[in-house]
Amino acid sequence: MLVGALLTDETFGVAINQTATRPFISEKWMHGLNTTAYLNWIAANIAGAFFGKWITNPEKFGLDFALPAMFIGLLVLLMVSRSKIVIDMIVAISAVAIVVGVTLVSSASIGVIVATVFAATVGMVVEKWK
Amino acid sequence: MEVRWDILLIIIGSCIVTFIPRVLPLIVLSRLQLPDWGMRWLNYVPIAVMAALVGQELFMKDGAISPLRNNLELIASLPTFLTAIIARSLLGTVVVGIISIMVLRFVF
Repeated sequence: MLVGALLTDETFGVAINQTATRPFISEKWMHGLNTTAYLNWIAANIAGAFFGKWITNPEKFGLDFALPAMFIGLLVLLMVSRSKIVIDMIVAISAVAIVVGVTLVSSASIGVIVATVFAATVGMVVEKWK
Repeated sequence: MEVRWDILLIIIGSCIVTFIPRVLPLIVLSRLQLPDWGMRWLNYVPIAVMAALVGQELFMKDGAISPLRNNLELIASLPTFLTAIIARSLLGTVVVGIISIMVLRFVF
């Protein structure tokens, strides 16, 4: 329960990458990962509060691109760490196509949910059918 | 420092709302065995979620498809992807991504 309470998107991404190469991860390991992430987050927030006033226009420095860049990194690292690159590519491409299509007619968050459900189903079906 | 009660209540409320979907699956799934197809489906969820988030970020802007001609994010994603594939480093990928978009925005 404590593991879930401290879990964040990013630590989940790191943990998933770990499980791709080792059989299981312990509860202790997960707590170490989560608390490290939180301590770093707190420290970075305090630093941001002190130094933020010097960066008046973060977009000029491309800092808003840090999050998509990190997701690109996590996605690529996850895909190269497991040996299912073809199906993974199919899943990723269908997810992108579905998310663009659904977001056009609906909202961004609905788009992500629909794309996830359908693209994961595509992966499951393709794996079975191969 | 001033603490506003309404904001504090919003933070506590959000805390509870995000706590439930994170903890509930862990508790439920640790007690029951999923069927084989369910496990395989879950296996593709992380790829699908991340691809969807990246795709939305790169191809869309304010709920519409961003024009390909001046989509700087999409251009910047190329060196970012390359760095991730070659260097296999998360930090390197983020740094290259930020530098690419910075240079592109500076030039155009």
